[in-house]
Amino acid sequence: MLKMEHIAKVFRTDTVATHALRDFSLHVKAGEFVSVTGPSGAGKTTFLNIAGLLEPFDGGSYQLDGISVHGLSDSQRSKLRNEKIGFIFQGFNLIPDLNIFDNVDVPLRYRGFGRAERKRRIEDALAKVGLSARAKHLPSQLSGGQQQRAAIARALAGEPAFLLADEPTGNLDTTMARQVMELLEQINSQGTTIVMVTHDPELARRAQRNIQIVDGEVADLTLRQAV
Amino acid sequence: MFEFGPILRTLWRNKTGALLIIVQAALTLGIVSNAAYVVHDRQQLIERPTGIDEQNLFTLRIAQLSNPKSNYQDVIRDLDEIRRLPGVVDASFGNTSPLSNSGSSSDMTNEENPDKPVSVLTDLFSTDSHGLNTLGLKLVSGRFFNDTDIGFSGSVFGNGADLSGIVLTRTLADALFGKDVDVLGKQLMGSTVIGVVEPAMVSYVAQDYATGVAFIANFVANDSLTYIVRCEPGQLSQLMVKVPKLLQKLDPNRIVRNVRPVTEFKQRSYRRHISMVKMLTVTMILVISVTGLGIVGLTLLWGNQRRRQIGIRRALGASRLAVMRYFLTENLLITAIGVVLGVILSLALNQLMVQHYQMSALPLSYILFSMLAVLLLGLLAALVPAWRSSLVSPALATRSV
Repeated sequence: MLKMEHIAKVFRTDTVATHALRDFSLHVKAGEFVSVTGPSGAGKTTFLNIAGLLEPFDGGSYQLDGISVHGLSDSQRSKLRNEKIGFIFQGFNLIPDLNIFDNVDVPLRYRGFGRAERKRRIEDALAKVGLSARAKHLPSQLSGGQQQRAAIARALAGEPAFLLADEPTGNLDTTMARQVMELLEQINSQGTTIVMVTHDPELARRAQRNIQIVDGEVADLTLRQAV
Repeated sequence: MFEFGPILRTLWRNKTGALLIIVQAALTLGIVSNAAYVVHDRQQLIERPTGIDEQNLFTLRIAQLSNPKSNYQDVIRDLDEIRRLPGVVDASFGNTSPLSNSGSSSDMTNEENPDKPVSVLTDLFSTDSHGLNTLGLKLVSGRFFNDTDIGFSGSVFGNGADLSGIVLTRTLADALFGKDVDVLGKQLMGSTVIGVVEPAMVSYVAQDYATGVAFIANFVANDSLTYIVRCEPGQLSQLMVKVPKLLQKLDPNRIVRNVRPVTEFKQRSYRRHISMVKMLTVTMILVISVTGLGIVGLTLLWGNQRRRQIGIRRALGASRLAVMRYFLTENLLITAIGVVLGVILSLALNQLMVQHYQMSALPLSYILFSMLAVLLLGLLAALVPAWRSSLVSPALATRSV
């Protein structure tokens, strides 16, 4: 599903070159639930940005669902991102002026689905996360947990090959965090590959595999059995 | 593809900025469509043909010092001498300078049907037998005056019965007797119509009745007389120097003044219209610039305010083109609402001008053209801000707020 080989990413200023990722290799198989942990500044977000085709990389190779992403144009990357990846962000990243229905609709419109198809997918996705009754609400009218579930519905609606989650419970209290985590596990159990970046070792342990990044490199690979 | 629904719902929740552009677009359309119509109307008025050889005409005025009244024999002598000068096509006297917008006007009445007399405000222009050739008029039927036709009444028209005849422009003949009616021999104000010339403006330029001219062969002896000189092409400047010298030499006991080309009179006569054209053109440019800059500013502001939102959209799969399309669609929708309101405003403004300034109704073509222009302005003004917004990196979505 996700195959990174010797990825390098350097941020340069006039005087300083910071190696955010160096010789970074990672394989994630279809259906896996992988957590990525590491201290602040280790390169987790850079890994997430590269994995999510949000940022280019300087060296190495990266294949997403069998497609080499190196050298793709911006519109090709946007299309691939839209079709293959569902994003779940720490801050939910719902668009405040759009109601939940329209928020879930955003990636589907870029996908080019017709109105009826979009409506079906939005209703299915909202039903999956238990927010059917809140479709016409604005994000500000929902609790943090509900907002994150709406964001998960948005990520799921396009039926992506894998989900990239960036601290998905970082802004939630314990109860909400547990509910969201259970939802992700449920989604994974239905076959969706998930890569989750987190600070929380408890959450990381619930994944099948944990990758630790230190100083831009993979520090440890621990294969865990699914709970 | 075009997110009309979400864009409209978003705008509904953020009305202030959108309202500002809507009002600007509406005002722009209302002002520009009416101003463009007035400008075009005035330009057509300014550019309409005069029917006289204005480029090669100049006039001067003679003021007698010893004898307050001009002497006809002296005038004949002067004009003969002028005609002898190389480069002069012809010369005649007139009661006023052509296209000076001053002269003698009066109602001419066709009383053929006493129950239904037809009156037309007319430019009365007195001249001599050389008037036709001097002004460059074209005879349509009948004849112009000969040397024996000249009368000597106390005023420009004098007593119609004393005149040997009267020559009308075709415009005046049509207005008095009906289109293309043969008017030769018809009686008008006690005089007989002896000729018809093609439509021409002589004394007046801007008035509705400017091309309705009645020519009279009448010499009015007063203290100031106008000579009109027609030159061969390219000779005007030289003759404007030579002719006054000649006249001064013929009779030093008088003043030759106001030596001016007829084009200058025309320019002066249209001064009010030219000023209005300039003022309205500047107004249109200002209004369009202010609206364009307003749209640029607001779209830039919105782009900056929504950088994170753009980043999220990019992360969710929006290409740069999709981001540009979003902003352009948003502007187009706002401008379109402004355009609809602008059409109403435009028609209301025009209605006011029709009622108070004798304007005619605004043609549909001006409204359609202005609608397109304002929509295009909205699109063009949003182009650069939309392009800037499209450059936002999708990685912005993963950064902390």
